[in-house]
Amino acid sequence: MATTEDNPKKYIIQLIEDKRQDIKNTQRDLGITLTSSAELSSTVRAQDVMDSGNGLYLKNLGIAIVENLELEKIVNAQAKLSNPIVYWEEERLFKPVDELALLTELKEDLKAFSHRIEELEARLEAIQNSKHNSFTWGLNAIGLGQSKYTGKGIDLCVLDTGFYKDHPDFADRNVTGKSFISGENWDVDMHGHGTHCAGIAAGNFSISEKIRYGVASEVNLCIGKVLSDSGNGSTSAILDAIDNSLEKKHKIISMSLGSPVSIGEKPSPIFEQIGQRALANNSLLIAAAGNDSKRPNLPKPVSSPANAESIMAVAALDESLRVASFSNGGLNASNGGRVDIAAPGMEIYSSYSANSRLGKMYRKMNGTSMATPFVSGIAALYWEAFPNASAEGIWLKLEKGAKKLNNQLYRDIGQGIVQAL
Amino acid sequence: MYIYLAILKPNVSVDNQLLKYFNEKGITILKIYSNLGILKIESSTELDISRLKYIKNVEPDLPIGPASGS
Repeated sequence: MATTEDNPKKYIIQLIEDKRQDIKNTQRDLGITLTSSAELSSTVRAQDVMDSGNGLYLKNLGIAIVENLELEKIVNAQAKLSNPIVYWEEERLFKPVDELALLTELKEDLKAFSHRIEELEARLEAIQNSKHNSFTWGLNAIGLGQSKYTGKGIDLCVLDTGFYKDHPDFADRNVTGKSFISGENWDVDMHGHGTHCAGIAAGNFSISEKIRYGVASEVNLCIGKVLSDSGNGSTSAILDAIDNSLEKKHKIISMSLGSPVSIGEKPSPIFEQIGQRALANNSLLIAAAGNDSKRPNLPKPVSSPANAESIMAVAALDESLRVASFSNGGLNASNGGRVDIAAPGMEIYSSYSANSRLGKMYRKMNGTSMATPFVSGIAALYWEAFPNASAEGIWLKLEKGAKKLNNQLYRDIGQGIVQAL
Repeated sequence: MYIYLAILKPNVSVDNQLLKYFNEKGITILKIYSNLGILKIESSTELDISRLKYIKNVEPDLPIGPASGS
């Protein structure tokens, strides 16, 4: 008899005919005795038969079960014409279906967990080597390298197209959110714009390129999806989100969105009221000045809602710290539509959404959309440094701390380029 | 149907008196932004602010989009 280590192997053998002579031939060729299932009783159990080195013959099925038999014997027996063995196989192990599903799920979990560990390792490496990591030109321009603040403990809400929550750079972050667009989730971001803006305001290192691109790396990032996956939104969705943010007492609400206005057009009383209510609730609204200009010949007025007096309007700068050609200016300043401050807004590297049409995790973008989250992130640093300051107080500090730029008009860049503290 | 965002006059709140008035005017409240003092309303006719009580301003629910060039 062959022996196995722990569990003896069993073989299932199919016999062609159920005749006494056939059984005898099989017993002879295999060198064992086959006990018919008809002979089993409470005293002669199937396992007892197997344990004694014999096989079991299931008469009604024409099947024999043998244990610990040399495989060679079965193969040789089958080859003999006189032997009725037509087929044999090793006994298969069966598990309950739910157990198999559990194993599959466990395998998937392990794979995802392993991937997550790899991402975290890369991230830790990037953080450990942070002194050697380069900053994006935008972060250098706002002096982030000299800041000891990270926005820790401050709630910053980005109202945009949503956020790609599986982005590896945010693996260790607790990002919360809510969608104000019917039928679309906040944490998918099929567009990508929202993930880019959120990355500038609240990101940290790119584990892919080992470059730092985000301002307030420890801020509590909250997402409000107010623009659809195709980039469309409405005033009412924004109102809904701001109402929700005030309820939750978010300190900073960053809006990289807008709607063009004409020269001489007054700001929307709706947004003026919203901005005032936000300031009264100690919340600062920061919005993009808009990208309708074609400078130097055709500057356009600051868009809505940034043109509201009580909402901070942000212009965009290029790498040479000149106003970007598309950035709107304070042409309606007498109506309140002025630029308050400026920030980098050309060739800005940040996180992106793998769910977007481009399918990229990172990309460079242009716009006052990109300038706005720089200011929002810096506002979070200020609030961390001055936790008891009011929203109006933070606004004043941001303007006071801004760096004046030579040969640039107040109309175009307000108090200058925002600076970290 | 016309959809508007409406700012209530100071010291006006959403109560039975306002609801009764809206009912007379064929106005339905779609949403109350309680922290903002603003309502989203629906009217069967175009609204003329000069003829409305309790409401300081109305404006349409305008479209808005992202502010990025590329």
